[in-house]
Amino acid sequence: MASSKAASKPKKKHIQWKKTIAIYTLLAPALLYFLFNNYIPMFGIVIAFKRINYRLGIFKSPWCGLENFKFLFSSGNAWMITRNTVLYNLLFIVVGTLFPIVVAIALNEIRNKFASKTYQTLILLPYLMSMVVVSYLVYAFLGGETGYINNSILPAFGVEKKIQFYQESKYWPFILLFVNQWKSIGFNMILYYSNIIGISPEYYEAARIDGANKWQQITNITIPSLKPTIITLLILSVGRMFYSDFGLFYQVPKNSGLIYNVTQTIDTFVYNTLMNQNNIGMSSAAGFYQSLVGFVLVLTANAVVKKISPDDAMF
Amino acid sequence: MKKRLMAALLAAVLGTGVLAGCGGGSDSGSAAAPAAESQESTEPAAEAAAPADNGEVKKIIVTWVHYAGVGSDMQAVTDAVNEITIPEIGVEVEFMPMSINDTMTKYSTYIASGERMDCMLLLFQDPLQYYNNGSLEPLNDLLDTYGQTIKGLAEEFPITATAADGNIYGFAPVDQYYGTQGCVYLKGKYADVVTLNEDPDHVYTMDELGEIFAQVKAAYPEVYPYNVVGNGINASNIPGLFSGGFVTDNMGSGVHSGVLMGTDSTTIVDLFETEEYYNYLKTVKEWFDAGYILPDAATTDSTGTDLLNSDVTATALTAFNPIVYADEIANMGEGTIPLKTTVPYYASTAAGLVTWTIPVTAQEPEAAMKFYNLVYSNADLMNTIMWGIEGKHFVKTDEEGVIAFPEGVDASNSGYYNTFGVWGDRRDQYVWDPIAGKEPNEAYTALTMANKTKAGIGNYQFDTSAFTGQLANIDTVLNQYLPTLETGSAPDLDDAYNKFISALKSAGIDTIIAENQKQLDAYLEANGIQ
Amino acid sequence: MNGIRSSEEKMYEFISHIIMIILSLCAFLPFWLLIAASFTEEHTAVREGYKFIPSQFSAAAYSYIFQQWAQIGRAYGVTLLVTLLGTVGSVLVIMMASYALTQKDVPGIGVVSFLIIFTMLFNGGIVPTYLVYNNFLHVKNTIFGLLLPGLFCSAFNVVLVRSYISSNIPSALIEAAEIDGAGQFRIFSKVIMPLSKPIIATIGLLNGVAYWNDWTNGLYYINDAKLYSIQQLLNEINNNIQYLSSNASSISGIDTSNIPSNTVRMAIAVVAILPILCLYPFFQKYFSKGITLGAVKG
Repeated sequence: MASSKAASKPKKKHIQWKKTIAIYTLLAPALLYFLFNNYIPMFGIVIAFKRINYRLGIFKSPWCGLENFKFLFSSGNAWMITRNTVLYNLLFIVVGTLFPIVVAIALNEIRNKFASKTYQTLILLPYLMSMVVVSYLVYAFLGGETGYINNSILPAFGVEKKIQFYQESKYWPFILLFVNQWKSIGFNMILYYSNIIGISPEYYEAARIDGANKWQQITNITIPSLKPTIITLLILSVGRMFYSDFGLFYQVPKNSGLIYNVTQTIDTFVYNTLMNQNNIGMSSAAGFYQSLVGFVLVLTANAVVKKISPDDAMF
Repeated sequence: MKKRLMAALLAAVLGTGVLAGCGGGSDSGSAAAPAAESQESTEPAAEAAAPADNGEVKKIIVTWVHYAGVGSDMQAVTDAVNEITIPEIGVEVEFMPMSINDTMTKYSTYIASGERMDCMLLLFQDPLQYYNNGSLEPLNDLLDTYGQTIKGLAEEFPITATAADGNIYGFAPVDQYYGTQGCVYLKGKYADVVTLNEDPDHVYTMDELGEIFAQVKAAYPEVYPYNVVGNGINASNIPGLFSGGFVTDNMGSGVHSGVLMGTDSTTIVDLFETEEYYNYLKTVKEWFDAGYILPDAATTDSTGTDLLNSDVTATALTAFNPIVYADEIANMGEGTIPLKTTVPYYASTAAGLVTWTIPVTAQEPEAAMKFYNLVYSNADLMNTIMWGIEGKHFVKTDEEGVIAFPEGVDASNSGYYNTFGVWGDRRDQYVWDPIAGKEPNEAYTALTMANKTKAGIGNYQFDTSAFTGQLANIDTVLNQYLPTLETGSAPDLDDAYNKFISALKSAGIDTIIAENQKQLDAYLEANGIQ
Repeated sequence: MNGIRSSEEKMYEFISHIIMIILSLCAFLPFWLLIAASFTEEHTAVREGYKFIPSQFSAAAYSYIFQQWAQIGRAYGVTLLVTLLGTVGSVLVIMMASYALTQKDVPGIGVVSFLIIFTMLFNGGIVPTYLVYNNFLHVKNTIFGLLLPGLFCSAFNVVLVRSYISSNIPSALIEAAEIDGAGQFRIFSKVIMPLSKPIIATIGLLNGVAYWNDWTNGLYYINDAKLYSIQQLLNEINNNIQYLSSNASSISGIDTSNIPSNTVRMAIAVVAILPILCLYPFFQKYFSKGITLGAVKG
């Protein structure tokens, strides 16, 4: 059971049993939970390779090789949905890392307690709404006939021609990015903000005494102290590279066929294909495919991090 | 240590039998025994100690699917049902209420975990999927022994669902009417401004419909007469089929596997590639440009009914028959005009949308079948389950088979009104409106049965079991393009249409049609049709 | 302090205000639209779309929802209890586990970290999970059915907190406490917990919102109407009204034309969001700054 870490430190060969027992006691509730909630149900992965027959039970159902995976690649859309999923994820990772950090730093600069709390509460509002409700609100703005942009904003700029947003692909990468950030900024910002306010003020005082200006304080103290969190979140989002927010890509574009080429992702494709099928073999296969890619990517990302900055590696 | 614990836990889970195999009736080995026992915990003593006595009352669990919650009188109705079933067949019924949305997600988890259900209703789900993954008991033997009434009705009406292996796995209620007829219902308040054909059975062409819409539009410029919306269009619901004047037969499968056009044809074609359908799309596009269709139709949040109720639109597109006609009058007001777009006809019908089954987790399959048979043969029982207790939830009127609410009761405060019309022989089901009564339905069915499609003769069904993957892909294409095309909102019709057709082809519609044709030819020859 | 503030700092603060005001407006205006829409007369909403100021005011959507007040009150209670228990319990478990994972000198911790992260990547799907919870743990129709499945302890939270602890709490502090003879439980409760307030508030918020908004656990594990959570109930009202407004004609006697189906969706969203918004200031006070190392050492 000796981990590589313990082995690499021959001096500390003596294990502190008291501490070890205490630490594992602290871990016990979480481990027990993961055992039941995640590990035991994981036997279900075999479903992806079986032709399920409930009469026989999951384990006795016949194997069917990769048959359940076929539908993912046979429609001719495999390239498009993979491309969309990966590109949107990359976009969201880049913007979704920079933007909340900027906002968290900005919030940290605000001295007025009341203003700070008000801003925090307000920008959290979208995070509390379900994607279905968000899709109605987006429609209220973008709708061709009754939407605000077509009825109020464009005429104010002298544009008379109505834009049919739900039929034109070119607007959607931006709309989806906007909605994604608008909805998540409240929480993501807090994530970084809680790290920023956890930084000891002593560092800043010391820097000020050394004559560092604001910009230098931000780049030399704030951002480096966020690094572990940023790296952790990055590795985790790399693992979600083949997943997408179903609500964002299905509800918000109203599943409009004319813009599938920029809105269809693996998750919406699987849903559209299997919605009336009740086929757990095929849906397990899709999930397994996404997991497997995520797993490989996480291992790779972690290995890269381990090379560059060993302390920030996840495991 | 940890490994051993893990192994023990896994064994414990396995021991519950769900992984090793589930199901009351089947011989799933010793591992399944504890599961079966734990499931019976509701009444262990009665089940275990029961001697093989003929006077014994068997209890069954029947799914009761609702859409708006369970009324306060559920127990009273259950008691009334048991007053009939216990003396007649020695079966005590316990209803398991479940909302229709829940049934979509819950049935598979229930069956996988061995949860007991003796009678299971599949509503708007593909029952063949359930049969193919071993969720359903084959019913042939049970029907022979306990289901004589159902068997008899099945000879007359297309109610049984049969798998490719010849096993019957479910059956539908007997409908009040059979056959179909395309129709566009126009709200009564616009009757004054339009010129109608004097013959009530006149079949309107697309041009004639266009003229009527033009008259509505001229009198009420803010109204969009033709009520198609994208959220109501998908692979299994294509409004153009009702209003486009198509006489089609999809052979129980859906337009994704091709159709017969007209009652004389024996050649299966892709509906969407036909000239008729393309012309329909062109007309719809013209209507869209002329303002007869809501500009946001493809993507609006509001349902067609919402728009109609708010007087944004003026029509409803659905089939014509006495039941729907009565419904539309209730919905759209007196004076609603049915503008018929086809003649009445009968196309091959699948028993698919509503299917009663006995799942493998049933513990009393024989009692379940006895109950089913009684529901089909005893109209009082069927009407009690459907409408509740006479005098409390409904009263009979002077007219035979027509009921009304008792004094002071309406749909919003009745203790029992939320079930679907899914029970037994519905020809004897009470109705609220004489227009939908037994006689008009029989007359309508007589008309359609006299005008059958070639596949409708003998009710040929396309066996799709080898093609579920491809059909799902075709449906995806339909769901992608139809909401735009059928609302006329594609900016460039020809471009979108060509993409649509080539997407259908690459999803494999041609191979499926060819296979369908092969099966149909063999069927027609075997049955000596034409 | 004020004397030290340079004009440069004031400029940074000014720019920050501008950024925050723009973001706040972006968030608040749609929320206002949501409230306004919920008070719009149904037919007007269908005809004209949603407006910031309803051209025809109506509270019909709310009166439709509150017809079922008795059940709604109870469901609020269930949700409140579940959210409270779930948030407190999950935060405690997550904190304990995360702290433990930072102690890399304990044998096997690296493997455990990997095993926990692994749960984020692979899962067995809904059917096997249901089997474990229903047939083995028997959580069906108990409050545990709402508390445990999926939500209680996520690896994502554990990893976040672990990263917070290892970067914001100096390991020297923990080592010093160890040398002073403090046991691990004492270090956890007296050093780690107080110094982790901001991250506790963050994951508390994350889990609190997740519990508050969850309806899928109710869907699978709760049949007993007494244990319906508010989201489950609202979801059901929503489904029913959508169904009624488009299909009700199959039962005669219902006047479907006045069911406020579009505006009810909006009212339901408001009813679901407002309480959690009221609870938010409670979290906010833990986003407090000024924890200095000196204060802890003393």
